[in-house]
Amino acid sequence: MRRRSYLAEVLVRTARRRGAQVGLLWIAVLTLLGVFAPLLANSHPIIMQTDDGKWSSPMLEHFTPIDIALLVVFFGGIAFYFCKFMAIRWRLVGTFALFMVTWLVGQQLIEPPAPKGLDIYRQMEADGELKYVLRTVIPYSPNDRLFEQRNAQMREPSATHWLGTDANRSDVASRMVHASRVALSIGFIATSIAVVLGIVIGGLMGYFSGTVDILGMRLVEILEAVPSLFLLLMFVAFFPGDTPEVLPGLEISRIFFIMVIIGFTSWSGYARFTRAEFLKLRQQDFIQAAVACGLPLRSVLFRHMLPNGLTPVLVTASFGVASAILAEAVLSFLGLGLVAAPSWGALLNQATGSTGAFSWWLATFPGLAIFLTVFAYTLIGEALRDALDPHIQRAAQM
Amino acid sequence: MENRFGLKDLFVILLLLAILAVIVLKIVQDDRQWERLAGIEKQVAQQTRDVAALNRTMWQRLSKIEEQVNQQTEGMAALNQTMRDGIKVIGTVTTTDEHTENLTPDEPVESSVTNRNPYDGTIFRRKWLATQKPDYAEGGTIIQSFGSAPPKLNYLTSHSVYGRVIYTKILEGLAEWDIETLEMVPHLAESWQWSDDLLSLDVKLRTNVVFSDGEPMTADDVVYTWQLKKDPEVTDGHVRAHYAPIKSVEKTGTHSIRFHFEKIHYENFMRAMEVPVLPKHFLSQFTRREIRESPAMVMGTGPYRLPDPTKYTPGEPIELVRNDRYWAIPGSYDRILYRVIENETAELVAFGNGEIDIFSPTPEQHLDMLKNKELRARTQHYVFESLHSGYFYMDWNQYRGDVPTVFKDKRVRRAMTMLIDRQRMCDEIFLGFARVSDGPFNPIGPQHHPDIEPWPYDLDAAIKLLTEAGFTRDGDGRMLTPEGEPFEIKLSYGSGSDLIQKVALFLQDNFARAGIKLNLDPQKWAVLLQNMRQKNYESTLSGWGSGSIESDIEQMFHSRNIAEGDNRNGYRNDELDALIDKAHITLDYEERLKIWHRCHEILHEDQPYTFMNVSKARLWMDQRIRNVQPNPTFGLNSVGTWAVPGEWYIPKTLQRTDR
Repeated sequence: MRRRSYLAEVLVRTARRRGAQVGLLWIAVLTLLGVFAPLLANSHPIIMQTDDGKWSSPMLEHFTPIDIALLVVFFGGIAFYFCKFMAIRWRLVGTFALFMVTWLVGQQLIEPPAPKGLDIYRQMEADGELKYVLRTVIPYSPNDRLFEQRNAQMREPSATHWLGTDANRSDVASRMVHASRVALSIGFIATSIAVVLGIVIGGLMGYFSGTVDILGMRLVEILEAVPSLFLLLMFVAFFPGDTPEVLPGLEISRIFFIMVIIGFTSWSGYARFTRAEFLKLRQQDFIQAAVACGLPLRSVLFRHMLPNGLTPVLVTASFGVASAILAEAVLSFLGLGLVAAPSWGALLNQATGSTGAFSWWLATFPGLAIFLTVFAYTLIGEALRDALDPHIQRAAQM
Repeated sequence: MENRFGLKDLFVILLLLAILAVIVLKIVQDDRQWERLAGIEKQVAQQTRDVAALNRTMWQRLSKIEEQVNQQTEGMAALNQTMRDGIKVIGTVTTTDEHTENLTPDEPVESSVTNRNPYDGTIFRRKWLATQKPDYAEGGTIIQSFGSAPPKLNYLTSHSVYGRVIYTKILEGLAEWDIETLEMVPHLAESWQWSDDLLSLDVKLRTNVVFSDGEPMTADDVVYTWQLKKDPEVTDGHVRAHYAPIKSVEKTGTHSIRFHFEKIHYENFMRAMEVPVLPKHFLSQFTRREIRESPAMVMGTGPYRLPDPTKYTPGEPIELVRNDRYWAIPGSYDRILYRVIENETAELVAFGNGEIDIFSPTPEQHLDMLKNKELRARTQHYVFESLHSGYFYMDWNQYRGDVPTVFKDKRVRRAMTMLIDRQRMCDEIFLGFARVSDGPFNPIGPQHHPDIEPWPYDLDAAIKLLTEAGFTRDGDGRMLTPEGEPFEIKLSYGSGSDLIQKVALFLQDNFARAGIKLNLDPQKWAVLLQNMRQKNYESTLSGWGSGSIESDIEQMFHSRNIAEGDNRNGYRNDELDALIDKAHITLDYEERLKIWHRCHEILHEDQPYTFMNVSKARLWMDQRIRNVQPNPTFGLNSVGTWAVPGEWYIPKTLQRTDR
């Protein structure tokens, strides 16, 4: 049997812990919800037949490039997982490439659907124009503001709206399902940005030490002295809108903007860890040997040192994902998040209006979702830390 | 070491005790002095009040005597006439008698004399009637709240809404509006006289007016005020531009001045008379720079004053105290306190606890408060329309750079209006506290053309109009511009307001029905204003306030203001231009109204804006406040941003002393 690498060993050990299993289960549920959101909550019927006998699938017609990319990458990722002949690294790269290709090609090929009222199908059904219609489990899109109904805002949970409606008259259940995408992607992408930045900066500081280290550490200290939430608030408040113009002529989607900002304000912890690891590693014989062999810097840094110094970063990263999700929820709660796109924090914000009245369903469900997600990531981080701790390992083995 | 209690130590202790005793005695003495001082202060205040009251009675009597003298002179003249031509006079006298008897048959002459309002023809007419009520009393404190702290209390340099509320309590103009007759009546001016060419105006000032520090107001103060108003070192450019038609102000006597105007304009009079008189003796001790930058610089002749006219810290409560030297009927309250409460919910809680006396709730709050029986029992509430509430509109930019957009075509603009179910917006988003508007004039005002109805919500008619304008629809129902592109509109609006956000989402749903994609672009207010000024937008949601009774639409609709002014969307209609210019030089009110009605017709036809709605105000106040009456034009008989003498009061028994 092939011996596992240290990193793989740690991951397997983590996955064996009960806490991590619970956490991973919840994340898996969220991932499924996020990937299959348009199949779960959609105003466009899956299949319908109009009076003239024509069959159509409005749901498929209204798929966005990101919907397709997520589905493709989900099944593609599973397929890659079983490609045992490929190195793990290449499987990951393949999955990522698949995502980028489907997304970019989708954006080129798929024409944005015509704006129509999302209530037209209900209207058609009421008028008896539909012979057959198959709807999704939650028959409302997150931006379906129930145009045909009067005073549909702030309805309590009922048989038609399982989790009630919000102040903008949308179905809360649908918004929550679609918001799981935002929460997951914010956590992963923002943390990835921070981890990459932190490893590169921390690695350079640790390897070169001396002046680079001193300057780098001062930068880290400065960044840590600034309260990052306020920095975040300031940046985000400065660029309102769904596609803020970050630089003259450069408009990016708000969600990416928030991800980038969170990433750029939270890399300092990873830099510290990587630096400490690298300072320790550079003294060790195998690195000295690698340097003596005349290997290029790239190879020494990323091939020999990084895999051995990565594990503590992983622990911090899983806590980082939790805090990134929390940061987005806070921003949305303060009304600085996404405008029309669904978000748990924004739903939570509507729980108390200007009258001071408390809408329990808007507080409970999104609040619970945020709590569970953050809790899940914390559990995973906790398990990772235990798996890394040699004392606990020894105790467990005895 | 040995430690013995010696004679020296005894002296030290005695000395200490003595010092302690002296301090205690001093405290007691200070206390007594303070009490005496407070007593003296009270007496002085009382005396000031008495003197002011004496002054007022004296002036009333004097004017009465003057009147009598005049009557006598007239009588003498009549007598002279009689002597010349007896029979005719006898005839006149008898007819006059009959006339009076016919008009007021059951009212004894004596009572009509005692009930004669000494303040007829001034804005105090209604206030005097209030003072005649049996439970009228001066005194009490009233606490109000501001949604944000005014950055400065400086009439010349800060024009925030909340600042204006303060200014109108402290400062007074030469003439003020009567809220019933909607005419300007003499206030600090006694009378005026136009020259024959209507380009200069002679104004006689009242001679009995003093500033709140006791200095009398003279023509010098008025001239000085206008010097500051026209000084680029003190006053902002746009304010100076507004007053540019007033060429100069000249002193013609200690209590008389003359205004010179650039050209004839119906607003000349209002502009000249509305500007409050500032005290020269007080302001001239500061440099221009200090006047401009000082956080507080308000002293005037009005019924209230700041305890220290130069002291104000933004965020702290603003206290106004009654001006005891006031020249006319003094204000009802001893003190008015304005607290800054930024959070709507906190404001509601404060009102519920009786911490503030007057509160203007959001529609949701209002509906919620109506359910609270206990709160309703101890408060009174009013829902009203006011000429003062401006209108909310959606703007269609007709040019991007020099290239005309689809909105250049008035059929497209009208289609846009008809695509929006504005009645539903008023009902569901504004919860019924709004009315669909159809033009720049408030539906309750006289400028509004009585026959114009808002364009209806009619999807089919709108699509027909678009088709006429060259738009087509593709197989998916998407609306295509005449160039064949999908029709998408970017709507820019201020971020941060839940209400506007809701309106924007509602509009998105409305436009989707016609296959039009509305992209939402919320922007920071400052950025939005900048973009609007640079005409860098496709469509915006915004509002215009209404400052005066008769609104001038030149600012936003005259093509003269396309290049630099507020006509940002590039709207041009030559007939409207000519009409606005004609209205400006038409001094006859009825004639002018006809012109405004025609303007309204044109704007209704052209739809340079989609006029969305005018809102209804909600006001809740404590039950202690009395004499709150409805007014057809302003909703209530008190206008926050106008120098209207407060007709409301608190009866003696209900005045609280605990705050």
